[in-house]
Order: sequence, then C-alpha cells, then structure tokens
Amino acid sequence: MKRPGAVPWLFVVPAAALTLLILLVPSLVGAAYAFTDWDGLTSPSWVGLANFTEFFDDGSHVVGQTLILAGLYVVGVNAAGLGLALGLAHTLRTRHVLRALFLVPAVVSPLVVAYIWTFILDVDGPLNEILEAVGLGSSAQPWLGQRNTALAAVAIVMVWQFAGYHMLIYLAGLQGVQRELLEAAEVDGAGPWRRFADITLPLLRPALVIGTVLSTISAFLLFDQVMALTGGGPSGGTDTLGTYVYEQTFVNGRYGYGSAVALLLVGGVCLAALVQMRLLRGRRS
Amino acid sequence: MTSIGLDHVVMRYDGTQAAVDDVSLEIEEGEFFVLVGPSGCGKSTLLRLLAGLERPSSGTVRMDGSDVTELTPRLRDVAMVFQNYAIYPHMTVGGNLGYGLKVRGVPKREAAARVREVADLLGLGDLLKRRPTTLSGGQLQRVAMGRAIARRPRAYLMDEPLSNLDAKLRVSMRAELEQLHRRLGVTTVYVTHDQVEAMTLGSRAAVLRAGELQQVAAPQELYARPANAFVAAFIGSPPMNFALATAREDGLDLAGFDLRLPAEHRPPVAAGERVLVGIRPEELRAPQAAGKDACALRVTCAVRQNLGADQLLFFPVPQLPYEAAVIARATFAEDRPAGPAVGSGERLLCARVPADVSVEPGDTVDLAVRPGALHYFAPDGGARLPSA
Repeated sequence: MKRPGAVPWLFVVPAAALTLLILLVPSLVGAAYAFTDWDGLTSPSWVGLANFTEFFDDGSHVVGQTLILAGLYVVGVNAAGLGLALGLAHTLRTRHVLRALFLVPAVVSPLVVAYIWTFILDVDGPLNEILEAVGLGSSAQPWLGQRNTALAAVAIVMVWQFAGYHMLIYLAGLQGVQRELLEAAEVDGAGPWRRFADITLPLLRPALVIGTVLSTISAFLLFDQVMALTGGGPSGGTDTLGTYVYEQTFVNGRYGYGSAVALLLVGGVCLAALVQMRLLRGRRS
Repeated sequence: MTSIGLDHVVMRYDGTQAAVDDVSLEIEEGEFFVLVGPSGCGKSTLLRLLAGLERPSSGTVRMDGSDVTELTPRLRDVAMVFQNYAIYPHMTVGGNLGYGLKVRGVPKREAAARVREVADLLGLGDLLKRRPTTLSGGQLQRVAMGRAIARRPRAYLMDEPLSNLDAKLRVSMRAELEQLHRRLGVTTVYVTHDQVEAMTLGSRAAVLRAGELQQVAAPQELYARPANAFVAAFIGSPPMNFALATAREDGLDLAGFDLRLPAEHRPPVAAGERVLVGIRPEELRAPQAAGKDACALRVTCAVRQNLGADQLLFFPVPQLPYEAAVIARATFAEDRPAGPAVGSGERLLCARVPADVSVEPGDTVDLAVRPGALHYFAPDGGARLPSA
C-alpha cells in the first residue's frame, strides 16, 4: 500500500495545535492553581491539598445536590426520550411533525427556556393558576422558591428541554432494530412488554450508552439553567458544582479554591462516563 | 398435527389494490404445502395472515376447524422461519433456540433438553454458546429452523427460507428440509418464488398471481395440466413456449407450421378460430424420440446453450406484434421480467434436446412434438381449454 506521506498531517496539525493552545495548556495551568490560594489579584502561594480538604469539609452538600439533580435528569431525560422515540418510531401518521415539535425546545437557548419556566413556575404563574382553577389550589406553591421543590423543578425544566434531543438518539437507535426480529419474538409468543425488554432494549444498548453518558456529563456541568432559574437559591438549595465553582471563583474571588473544585468536577465527570460505558456496553459482540 | 383453512380471505392495505384477493384454501394435517408465485403476488402476506402478524380485511382463518382470525400469534402457536432468518443478534445460538420455550414458560430443565435435542438434530451442538455474528449463512438458516422446531408448534410457516443461500447449499438444504418434514410430520406452509422449490418440496402447491389463487394442485399436476397460461408459463424451466395458432379441420396452423392432429388432440374451437398453444421445451424432441404420430417441425437453430446432459436450442418463428401482445396478456408476462420481448418481428422458441444431438447455430434441425403434449389456452384470459 502507498504510504500516505505528509498530507494527512497538514490537515491534523492546525486543529491539534489550536486545541493544545486554547484548551489543554490553559486547563493544565488552571489545574496548577488548584494547589494555590490565588485570589486573582495578589501573587499565588502554594497551599498543597488545603483547597481539596476544605471542599470535602464545606462543599459536600453541593456534591449531594449535583448528584440528586444528575440522577433525576439522567433518568428523566432518557426515559422521556426513549418513550417519545418508541411512540414516534412507526405508527403515528403525524410522527414527522411531532418529532420536529419535540425537538424545538432543544434548539432554543437555555436562558430563554429558563425565563419561560420562571414565568410558568412563579407563585402567581400559570401553573398555580391552573391548579387553583381545577380545585387543587392547596397544592399551589412557590416551586422555585423552596428547597424541597426547587431542585426537582430545575430537573423537570431540563428534561422538558432536552427530551427531544434524546428522542433523536433513540430514534436513530431504533432504526437498527429490525422489524422482523420483533415479529419473530411475537410469533415465539412474546407480548409487547417482553418484546421491548428482550429484543428492543438490548439492541438499543449503544444508544443507551450515548444517551446516559451525554446526559450525565451535561448534568454535572449544569450551570446556565440553574443560574437563570434560581441563581442557586433558595439559600444555596439548588447550587450545583457548576454554579458553586462560578460563585467561589468569580463572585468570591477565590480562584485557587475554584480551580480545585473544577478539577474535581472534571475528574468526577470522566469517572462517571467511564463507569457508565463499562456497565452499559457489556460484552462486545 | 393441524389442518389450516382460509375462507374468502381479502387483505387490503389502506384502500390500495388487494394484496390477497378472495383466497380460499384447505391445507391438510401434516401436509407440506407450498405457496408459489412471482414477487409481489401476495404469498408472503398470506403467510403473515396465517401467522397472525396481519389481520385480514375480510374472511376467516381456521386452524383445526376453529376460527383463529382474531387470535394473536402467541395464541395460534405456529412457528415462522423468516427470509432473513431474524436471529436475535444479542443472544447465543442456544438462547435463540430456547427463546420461544422461555417465553412460553417451559420449565428450564425441559427447555434445555429440547434445545439440546434440536441442536443435535440440526448439527448445531457445538455452536450453542456462539453468537450469531460468528455464524455462516447456512448455520444461521439452521438456527432459524431450530428455533421453530424447538417450540413444537402446531405448524411451521416458512417465508423463502432458502433464498439467501448459495445455489449449492440450497440444493442440500432442500433435501434436508424434506427429510425433516418426513421425520417431524408437522403441517408446513412454505412460501417461495422459486418454482423448482415448489416442484420438489411440496405435496401440493398453490400458484398465486396479484393476490389471486390461480391453481392448487400437486406439483406434477401443475406441470402437466396447468389451469391457465400464467401457471403454464410460471411452472417449468425453461418456461413453456407459446404461439398463437389458427384451428383447422384437421389440426392447426402454428406460426407457419402445419400440424395434422388426431381428432382427440385437436383444439376445442371451430376451424378458423384462434387458439393459444403451449409446448414445453422438453416436448420438442428429435423425430425418432417423439413417437410415430408426432408432428414434425423443421426449424433453423439461432442460439444453442449447452447444459451438460441437455442442450437448449432456440429457433425463431415469425410473429405479428398483435400476437406478441395477446401472448403477453394471456401469460401475464408483464409480471415476470424475464418474459419474451413484445412487439418484435419474431419470437425465439426453445427446445430441450439431449446433448448428443449435434447442432450448431445456423443449422436446420428437424424437431417433433407429440400431439398429446400440446396445451391449449383461450387467447383472451389464458384459461385452459381441454382437447376436443
């Protein structure tokens, strides 16, 4: 075979150099600040692992909230996306229109979505008005203004926004499930639930891996929706690792501490993604 | 052992032309019944109706005399072998063979024994732990068969199960299928577009065209007494020759050949009328092999194809465009892409003679046909006309 020579390098080098320069180098330098007490103004001094130990003492509630939010979001958005995909894969006549419709929220700016939902979930907003109109006025509450509902509300808004996007992933996955296989299972005696559990779901494994890994990463890195919906409140009740890093770094001017938390966050995301891929990929066929 | 019946079954998708049009059939217990026809004739739809994967627009499906039209596939308890095998790719061979048993709640120990038994029967014993992606086409085919057999269903439904195998494997699998059926004795409905499979496998076969039943008969009957010109053209390889002839008092004027026929073999139409005549290539023989009352035809060989034991001689006969159109219409040649060219000035007919007859293209050849080997069909519609 003819050797490719230098041409492929011409294509690779510029992109690789740019990535190195604007992503990798600053990240590594930033990582180094994690071991200092830099405040952005004075020159940093080495503090060892002090930032990390401080986070494990003071920041654990943020980790808990992030995990709860990630759990709600990952389960919710994948279940909703899969449900939409199954519903819109074959049967409905209007499926093409509906697919486009469900995808619309995913292409709207998260900030716009957040403002729409702040309005809906407001104490005097349409949701509470509807509840009152149907006689469930006692259930009306400040959804974003109290600790026990705010986190779930944020998760629901995110699921609403990205269910369509995950629907696309599962629709693509369902293309790979041949109709004949489901018919063979039907003739073998499997009812709808068995066919889903025994045939569709195992064959959707690659799509499930992609769906859960992508949603886990975005849940861990969640920032703008929380900022726009609750600003991390009430009293830090919806603070996630993303908003916490922002607050500590840019509001409180603790660049060293912020870098340490950010570094932990990156490590956590990588670890979670790896574990999920291992669990879901199973045996390679 | 199960008998299967169809009463006036119609299948229409969204108001389009019927895929299955008023089909009534009786399939007997333990029979190997073949549904054959060109692609798009509705044979696979008919099989899916039997499986319960489709509900007919009207009509009744019966099994052992009871109406199963509204029953799901699970309750019908039939097994189906799909054209692309439909092997579950994420399960092992053993998992595939045992899936139907697991779903139907057969105790684990019994299921394992049955899987083992079927695997041994089909020579899959060493492959039970393998994944389908590592198997050859022939092995996949066996797994598909095995999955059907392990269930011990009331009937097997097979949708062109051999069509994805290479020619050599197909011949051996055909023989195996026949043996298996004899051994298991389960009612089998087998769909194919291959008339060789229809001839060799079935105890009876139904020929379908455009959703309509053309003829139901034993393979030899389909070959010897086709109900119409379509069946005559579809069954047999190479296909039957057709020519438009004019009846005479003492025989036929067949595309310029003067055939004198004994009274019992003359066409059942008045002298001067047109009749569609069919002659199988293997009935056009060397004069000495055709018998003493045979009609002689002197032709010029245009193309010769050697098949080893036999050879095919193609010779032209003059033909008017309208004759070509009549023949094409009567035999539904438009259904079969390999049909003869319509409208050309001449038509190539085919004779199948032993390879030791020495002929080269351009040679004049004497052929003969037994009067009893002539098939007569109505020029309009192609229905079979009995000899006078």
